Amino acid sequence: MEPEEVGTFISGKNVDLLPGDNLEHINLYAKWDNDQETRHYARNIFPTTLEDYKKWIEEEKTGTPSQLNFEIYHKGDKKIIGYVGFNHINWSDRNANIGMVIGEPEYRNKDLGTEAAALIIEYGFNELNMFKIGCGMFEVNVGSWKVAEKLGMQREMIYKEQAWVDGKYVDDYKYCIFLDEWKEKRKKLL
Amino acid sequence: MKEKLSSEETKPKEYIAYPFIEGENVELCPTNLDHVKLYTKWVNDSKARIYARNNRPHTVEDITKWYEPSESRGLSKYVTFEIWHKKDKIPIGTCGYGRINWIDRNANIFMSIGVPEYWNKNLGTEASRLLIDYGFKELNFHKIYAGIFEPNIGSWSVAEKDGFILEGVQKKSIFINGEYVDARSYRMLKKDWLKNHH
Amino acid sequence: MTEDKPIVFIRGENVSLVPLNMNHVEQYTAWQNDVRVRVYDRNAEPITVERIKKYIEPKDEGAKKEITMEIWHNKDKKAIGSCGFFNIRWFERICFMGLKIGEPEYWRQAHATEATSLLIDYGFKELNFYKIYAYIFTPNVASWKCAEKNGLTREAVLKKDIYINGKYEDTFVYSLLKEDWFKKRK
Repeated sequence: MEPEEVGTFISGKNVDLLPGDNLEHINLYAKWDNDQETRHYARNIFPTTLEDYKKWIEEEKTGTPSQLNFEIYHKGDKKIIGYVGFNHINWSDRNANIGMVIGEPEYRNKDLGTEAAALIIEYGFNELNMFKIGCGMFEVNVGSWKVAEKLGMQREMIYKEQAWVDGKYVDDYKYCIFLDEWKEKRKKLL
Repeated sequence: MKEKLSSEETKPKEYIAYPFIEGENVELCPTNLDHVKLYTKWVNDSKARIYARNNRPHTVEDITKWYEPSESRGLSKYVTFEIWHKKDKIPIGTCGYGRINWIDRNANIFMSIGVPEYWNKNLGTEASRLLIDYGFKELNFHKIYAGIFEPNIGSWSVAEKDGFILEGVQKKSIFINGEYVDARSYRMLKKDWLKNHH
Repeated sequence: MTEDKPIVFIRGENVSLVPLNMNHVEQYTAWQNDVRVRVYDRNAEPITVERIKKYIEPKDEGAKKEITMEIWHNKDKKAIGSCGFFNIRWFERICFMGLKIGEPEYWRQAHATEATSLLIDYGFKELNFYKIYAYIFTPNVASWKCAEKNGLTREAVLKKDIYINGKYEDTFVYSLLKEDWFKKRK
């Protein structure tokens, strides 16, 4: 698949962000969201079918979007390796949450997630006029909060015993970064 | 000879509220679409809505949609009650649980007294206590949480009195009255409730 | 999606649990109607393809009442049955489980036992269930042996509960509590 088909929305060094919610790739999304290892800390507890994705993507959306999704495209290998997006966008408060999945296991632990997240945070502050961007993950999902810290985010909340994972209650962490903090951090990351 | 029944006694009983949970001064009843105009008024009220985060106007049709029985047969993500004042026989607010997660067994508690004359009378505290007991005893929750904005001291003082523990504060999360304010997060785990309960 | 690369939800050694697949709807319909398979199904009506399609379609519901998955044979790369939870009571965290191996050539190979084990782990570890029930008709020996191998115990007997092959049979109520499953895991 060539990005020329849908256009490169945001260009990075090793990865680009392409428009998400692509009906032609729902088999990829379904594979990642169902895969036991990939979904382990992603909170996908129910099996999802291709029909589910068709329905979500085709559903008529009205009003300002509460989420914006992108595909992560590996420039060198010319393939889609995951997705990243904003959810719970609150336009009056100018804040939003980031969600990200590197679906193809060979591309994990290579700082590609950090790069993709940096691109979307830059987009959020620079183009969407955000004030505060956050992201949440389970305490056991160490990989995720290490990425958040690499991006200069601060842990602002610990929700105790918030989620049932692997047969027990675990805490949920919330990280965040403000516009002025990002203005400093981006110099080193982008 | 049997006494003739008075007209008062033979008048068919008017059902105006169906108490689901009984308290001392208030009752929690199912929401009543006959009162939808009242609910809409409370949701839009300029004073009450600031800390309830209703920054868009809602019409009666919008509110009716909230409370209409849904077509789905599954369990809802929310449970809503009308707060009914027993003595004065009128609805004075709404309360309930939202964002119910049946797997993590937690939910967001909300409570709002819509009629200003009934503020500062501890009725909110009473309704919350009934609602919290219901959450742990009947809905089998593991954790109840509440998000309250920093300036809304009335609300979070009640939460702390009820036994909620401050989990943390998210700085500059919400834009209210022209400025960013902090948001407090409170929690009550079932084990904390059990300690207070006995 | 090609047949040799299924979308796997829970991976097992010989079988895996995968989401229901609209492309397999004829297979599902065949299983529901096949007299050898449906005998212990509590289902005496013929089922149409349309009904199965409707069942698979995504629904707008609150908390799910049922979660059904396909049992996929890893090596032979085909769907061999289905299983899942139904009558889910989220307040009590109690539900029923059901399972069928739809392709008779895959009977008596411990696939049902493995699929049941994957399903039960999912129920307790991810869905936070408290107790799982299985109603099994007494003549269905293979089923209750599978249940017992997975740690379910016979809690009760419902007398003359089901009409199969011209006579009334009893139903065994098998169940497993989370605390017992947890002990067994250790």
